[in-house]
Amino acid sequence: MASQDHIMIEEAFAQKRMSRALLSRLISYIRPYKRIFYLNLLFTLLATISQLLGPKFIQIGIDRYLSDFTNAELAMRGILIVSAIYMANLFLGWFLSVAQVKSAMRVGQSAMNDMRLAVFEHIQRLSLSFFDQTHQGRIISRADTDIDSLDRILTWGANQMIASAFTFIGVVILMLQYDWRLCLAVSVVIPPLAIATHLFQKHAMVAYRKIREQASRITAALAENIQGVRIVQAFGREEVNLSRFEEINDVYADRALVASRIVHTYLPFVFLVSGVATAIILGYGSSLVINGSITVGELAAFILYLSMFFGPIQTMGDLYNSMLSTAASAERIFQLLDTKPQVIDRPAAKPLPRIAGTVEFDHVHFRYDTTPENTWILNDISFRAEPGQTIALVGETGSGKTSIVSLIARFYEPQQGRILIDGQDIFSTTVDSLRNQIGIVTQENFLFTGTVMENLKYGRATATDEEIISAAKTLGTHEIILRLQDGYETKITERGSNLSAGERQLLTFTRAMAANPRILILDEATSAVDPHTELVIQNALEKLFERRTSFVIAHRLSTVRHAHQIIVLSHGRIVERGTHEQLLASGGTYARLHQEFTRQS
Amino acid sequence: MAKTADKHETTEAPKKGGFRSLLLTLKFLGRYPGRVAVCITLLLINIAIEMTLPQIIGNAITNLRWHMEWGAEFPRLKYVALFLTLVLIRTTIGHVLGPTRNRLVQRTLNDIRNSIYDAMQRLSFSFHDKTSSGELISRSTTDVWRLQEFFFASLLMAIDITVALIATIALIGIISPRLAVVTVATVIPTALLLGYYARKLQPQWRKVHDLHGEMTTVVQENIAGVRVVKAFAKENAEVQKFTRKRDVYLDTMMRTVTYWSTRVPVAQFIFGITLPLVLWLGGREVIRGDLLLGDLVKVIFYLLAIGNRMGAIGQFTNIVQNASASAERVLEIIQDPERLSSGHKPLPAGGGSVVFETVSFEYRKEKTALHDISFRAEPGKTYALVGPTGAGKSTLVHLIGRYYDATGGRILVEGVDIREIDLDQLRCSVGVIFQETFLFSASIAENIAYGKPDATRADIERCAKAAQAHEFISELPDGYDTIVGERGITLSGGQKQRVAIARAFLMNPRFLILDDATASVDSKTEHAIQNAIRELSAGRTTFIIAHRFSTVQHADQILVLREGRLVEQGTHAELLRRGGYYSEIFEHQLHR
Repeated sequence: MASQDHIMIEEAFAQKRMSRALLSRLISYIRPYKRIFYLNLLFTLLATISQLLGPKFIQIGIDRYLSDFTNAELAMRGILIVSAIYMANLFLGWFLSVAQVKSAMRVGQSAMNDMRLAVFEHIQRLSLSFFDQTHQGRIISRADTDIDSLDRILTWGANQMIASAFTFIGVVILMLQYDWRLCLAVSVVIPPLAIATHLFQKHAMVAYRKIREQASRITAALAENIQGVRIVQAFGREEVNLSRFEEINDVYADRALVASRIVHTYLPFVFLVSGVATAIILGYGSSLVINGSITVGELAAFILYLSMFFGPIQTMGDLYNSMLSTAASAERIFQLLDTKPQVIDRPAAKPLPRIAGTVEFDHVHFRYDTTPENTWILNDISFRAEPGQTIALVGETGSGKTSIVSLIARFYEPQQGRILIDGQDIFSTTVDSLRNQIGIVTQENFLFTGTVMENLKYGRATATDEEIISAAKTLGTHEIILRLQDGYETKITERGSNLSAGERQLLTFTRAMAANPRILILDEATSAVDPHTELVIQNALEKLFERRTSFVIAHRLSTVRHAHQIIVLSHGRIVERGTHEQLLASGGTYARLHQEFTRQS
Repeated sequence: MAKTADKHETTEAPKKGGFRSLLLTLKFLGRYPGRVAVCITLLLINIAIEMTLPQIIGNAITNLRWHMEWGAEFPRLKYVALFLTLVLIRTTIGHVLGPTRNRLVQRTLNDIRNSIYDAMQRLSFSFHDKTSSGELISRSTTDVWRLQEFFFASLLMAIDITVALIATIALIGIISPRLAVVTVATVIPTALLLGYYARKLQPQWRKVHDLHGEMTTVVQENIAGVRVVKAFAKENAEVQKFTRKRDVYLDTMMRTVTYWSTRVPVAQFIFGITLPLVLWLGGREVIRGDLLLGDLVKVIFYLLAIGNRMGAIGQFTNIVQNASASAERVLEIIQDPERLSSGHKPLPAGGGSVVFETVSFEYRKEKTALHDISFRAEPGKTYALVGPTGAGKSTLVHLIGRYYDATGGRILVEGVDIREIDLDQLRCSVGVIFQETFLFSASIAENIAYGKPDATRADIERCAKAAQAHEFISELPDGYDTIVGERGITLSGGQKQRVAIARAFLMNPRFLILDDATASVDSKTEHAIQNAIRELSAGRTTFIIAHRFSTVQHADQILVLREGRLVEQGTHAELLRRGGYYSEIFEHQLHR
């Protein structure tokens, strides 16, 4: 099981060439915002033009009015007009850049959020078998980091590509228009710059990847030490741990230095290249001025345009890199979206009417997707539970108890045999209508962040506060809830970590009770609780089992003893069944298990 | 309803003391004064060269015009050579300065990180109780990364911006005071505006960030709780919940973007008009003959140099703001007073006696207080602590290893007050098995040898055998070298517990503290654990927080706690005879 950090690192650096299919699928998310998208491109184009014009105004001002003027009066007016137009152009540029940013963000963010929702919706539809096979961290990063990493391309991709291409072409055209020889002379710096940029990006990526890896090691080391601080202190490990941490830190510093060397080789090199180009303009350009091929203003404009030359090359290289990692993310997202859910309503499925609660297994065989071909997790299981009965499932870990209850809720579908509810094959019914009538309490006692009340209403959103409170009173959990910090309004922190195990258990009982299901499935947790809470739990269980068919994976002796039917499982088969007394009398597996039970408690 | 809305507003706004804390962190830089001086010197040289380059270009243009007008000598090669030389020097400095600064900042940050790490592992449990591990992790990672940004920025960006701005304006002033006034008139409002917008924007971006976090939380919970979602057939409701979060996020995001994209360009626009203004006003001076055209070109190039830095002002404001809040949180850990000071006496020899003399412990209201607890624990005996949740059982046992300090009375180990005993020695004499077993991401062997890293493999195996863990460990793919914990394979609750028992075994503690809670394990495992614990507690003074009567019955003494007070004490038989609280719960349990 890999941790979230590791998955994130491993995936953050995955790269892929952007295939046409992938790109067109990405573009399909932009399509709904086509109009804003095209507008954005238009704004970008105009903004780029406006920027390119800046040095041109300076050149015109210098050449027409500042270097050779005959009439000072006219020159004064001329320079005022040029400056005024220049300023108007700046104002226009400001307006365009506002429009450009807003429209780009609107398109990119909307597309990303659509995708986010699509992923989330799809995750809801996937079956549990998918969640069994896929690490949680991976699924989360699909809906989270993977989509975030599309930001750059979806928001700025087209934008930056057009802006840099246009700037580059524009600068070249303007320079050519002044003098093609000087333009050619300056262009000699482009090949070394392009090569350096390429090399830099290749090496910098590797260097940064190593830094991030080490950064995550630092985080992991810190996290572990914090989470295990009680053990650290109990075993007196402070010195040893500190020296290990210092080593990790030193490696980080070394790697940061390597990256810094790469960056500070490249950036000074870019400066050098632009310096050389300026020197060429200064040297060769001045002789062109002397022989009258260009003007002084054009010479200055050349130098000004030169500074616009380098940005696009760097942006393009950067964009190419983002493309690669975006493609990898996009592919993972689409893979998830293409995963077919296994449990889906059959075409002719009908909603299940309110049921009485008969559950029948008819020669059911079942294995998980991950189980080897030749073994069954459940082997030829048949039983019948009458409405209102409590069925206790007993057996060693791995005997198939959890699989049986998962099949009742149709989290999975059996490979052979039928499962009937009130005589109806569950395949002929809709999944939702079945699950709405089933209440499940698992050992993990999972609660959502939010108030206690919100959690209790989870199974029945339409319930009023009074109904919830009366359910809690029936169960005997009302007092315990009132004793929490803010009673029913107590905020539950992530995964209920601010509650004790017993409290969490009682809340999930109440949640199930409030939903008032016809069939109850309960995986009893046996976390140690104090005697008082234990008492409340046992009373609550009795109430829960009343008037509904209940399946219990039993750990408590009292539960087993009071069950109408006890099913003893071993290696996926039913080995014994009957009531407590019957099974004790027969002196088989159950009798042996029972002995251990009594010894424990 | 209003209450919940308020809670969303609690974004981490920088506190007032933040900026002072930030300045305090600069002290860490002071450990390397030589390197700081080198960095600053190189930076200043670089700025000087940068300021010289426009002079060369401008002078060349002036000279060129004179050459054309009245045939003045135009030493073309001299200009080119001078220009190239300066460029080369600057390139070299850039190449040296970057890594030098990097090394300096990284060293400083290592110092900070190491101090945090050490502080955290030495802080008393009171600190860890009130601060969640997530909070601590984010302080020691995110907050430190923000400080790293700040160190990089403060070391160059602040100096660079200030010096370059002043120098440029001065240089423009020498050329033409009027143009310098124009520059000052636009640069100052631009800088102020950019700083102002950055400050305004920061809480907005933080809110966007928080909303993004909320969206992620929904996803995470949805996936972690997928069984509950499916069990209640709540898929559609979950999608609606997510859609709501998404809409709020998108809205807030777009509002922030609108603010950002309209305001920040305004500031840039104000600075941008400097160029046309200079072209106009400077142009007039040129026409009048008060200013050389070459000098006007110099001013234009200087303005470009400032322009490159204007964008950095907003960025710098952000970094300082972020780092201020972070610095405060980081310093809080490093300078926390809740660190326990170790005593100086060695742990006296003995069989393991503990005496509580009218011990009381008062902490915050969430933690159970203890009042006036007195008892004596004899060497080698087993003491069971019984009582409802929140009675103070675990607080009491934690006082023995001095994970907290008692606030009243005293605790004697082998007749010596524990505050006088060397803390490491004291703690090494107390073995603890907590309710939730924490294993580190390391091999099983390393986990068992956690308290004694130099233990031999034979020792480790011996202890694993005693803890009934050898059998299952041998069946793992890599045996004792199998990696467990966060990044390794997952052990079952029962297996983890046995590894923890082996870990305690190897330390061979004089005192043993057990939280007798078994996770849901099948009866065979349960049996194995019970045997292992019996083995481990033999010959050690043992304190068990008991949940089951089967455990309690075997104890030499039972201490019954209620609401922080020791209400009954005696053997099982004695307490039953007495007919108090203990016998009451016992009867209750029996009748189930």
